[in-house]
Amino acid sequence: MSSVPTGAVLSPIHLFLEADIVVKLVMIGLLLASLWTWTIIIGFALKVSGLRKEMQRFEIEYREADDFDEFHRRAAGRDQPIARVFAAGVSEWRRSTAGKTVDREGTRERLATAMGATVAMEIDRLSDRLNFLATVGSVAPFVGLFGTVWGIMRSFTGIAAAQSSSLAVVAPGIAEALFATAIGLFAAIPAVIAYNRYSHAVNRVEARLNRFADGFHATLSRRLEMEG
Amino acid sequence: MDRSERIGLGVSIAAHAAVFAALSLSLLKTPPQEPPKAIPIEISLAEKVGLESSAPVPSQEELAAKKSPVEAPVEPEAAPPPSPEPQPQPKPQPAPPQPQPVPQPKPQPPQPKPAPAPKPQPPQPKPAPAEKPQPAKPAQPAKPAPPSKAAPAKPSNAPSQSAATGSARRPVKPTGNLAGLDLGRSNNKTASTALQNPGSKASAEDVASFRGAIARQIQPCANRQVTPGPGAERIRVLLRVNFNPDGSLAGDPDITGVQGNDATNGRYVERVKDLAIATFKGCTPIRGLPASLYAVPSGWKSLAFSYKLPG
Repeated sequence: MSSVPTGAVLSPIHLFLEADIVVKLVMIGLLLASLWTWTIIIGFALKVSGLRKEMQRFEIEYREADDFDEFHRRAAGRDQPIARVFAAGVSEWRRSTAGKTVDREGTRERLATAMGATVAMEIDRLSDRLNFLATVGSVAPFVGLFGTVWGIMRSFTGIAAAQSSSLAVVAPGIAEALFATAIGLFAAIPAVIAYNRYSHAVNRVEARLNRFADGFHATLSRRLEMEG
Repeated sequence: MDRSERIGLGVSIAAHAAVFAALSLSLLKTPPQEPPKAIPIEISLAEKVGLESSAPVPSQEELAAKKSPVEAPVEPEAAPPPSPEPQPQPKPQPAPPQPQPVPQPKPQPPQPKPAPAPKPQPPQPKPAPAEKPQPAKPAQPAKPAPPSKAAPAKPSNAPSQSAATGSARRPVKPTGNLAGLDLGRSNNKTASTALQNPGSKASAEDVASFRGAIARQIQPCANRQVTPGPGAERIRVLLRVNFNPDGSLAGDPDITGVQGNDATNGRYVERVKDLAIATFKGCTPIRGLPASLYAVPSGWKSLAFSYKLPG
């Protein structure tokens, strides 16, 4: 502790190296959490913005297409949630209408169920990472606080050992300990903000998929009546 | 982990590294705070201001005020006896020359009366000793003015007669009157004419003056002392120094207390005590101290000092 020069540079490396092993572990964990949080934030932002463009383009193409069978050949292979919903509807339609007699009511129910399940699956896959944001946002401050409490306890022990309550003895240890809380907040604040924003984004994507599924279900239902 | 998350991971790692580097390099660097330099202030008013008022006036007047109610009953007793006697005229006459009408009527009654006669008489024929010349003499010129009146007209004869007769008349009262008179007179004087000797106590200016003189003459020895170690200059030793009238030390200075010692400089305390004593022993006797302020209250016979190493 006496190695801290006057007017010391409060360098993160220095704070980390001076800290207790428990505080070090807390800091490392929080740093990794922060890294992963930002990975999710950036990745999700890219994914959602790409998703919106895909859905926009897919809906336009769908509206312009004359026959959904022909459109299905073009679009079914795409790795897109909205395309998978469409493909699920088409495949259920083909299975239901393959036989000689067609149960219209049963076909409608199966179509709705198949597309709804696909929408739910896509939303689940999309929001898979968000629970990590929620966890980091609520837990990281406490973890950082734990590191701080531990570090302050350690520095108080140091005071007792040195039998001197001089501020120069206490201050470095407390600064190191508080660094843990700082990292915890550094990780938690973006996580909470991103979680709230992305929950809203996921809800909008889900609503859009459901609207598309309802529209496609209406189209299939109409065609079922015409064929019947 | 798909493509967008790989991009996110790369971006976040880069951003964290950037934040880390920024914090390490400059942002968290606390500017070295220079300790505020102590600016020496010239304290020129110190010698004019004392912590304690040394003016003796109020205390003596208080004393007179305390005494007067006690002595008051004595004087009225003394006053009435002269008034029935044929001396209303001497009263107005002495009054204008002297502002104290009360004490004058008193010296008069004793003279016509037998009471004081035995005592004041011997001095009067003699060349008027210093004790009671003043009350006696004003009384005498006052009496010649009304010579028609019987007894007091002649100072030399009347006392002798009154002495012969008065001693027989009232043996008890004269003593009581005299005692009351003396006390009353002294009280009145101190109360009205303030005080005669204001220098009975060293004033705050005097104290500051001779303390400054001592400090100036001690200073060379204090500057010679070498600090025994770091932190020792924070130790402050309180001493009581007794002086002889010639300015030399009467015995070694007494250590009355130590301030400013803590864990870091505690081992230097004894050494600083020795240095403090050596400083005073080295530069005494002090010259130029006013002899009149030696033994008075708050004089320089015994002084308290606080010693501190330079630096």
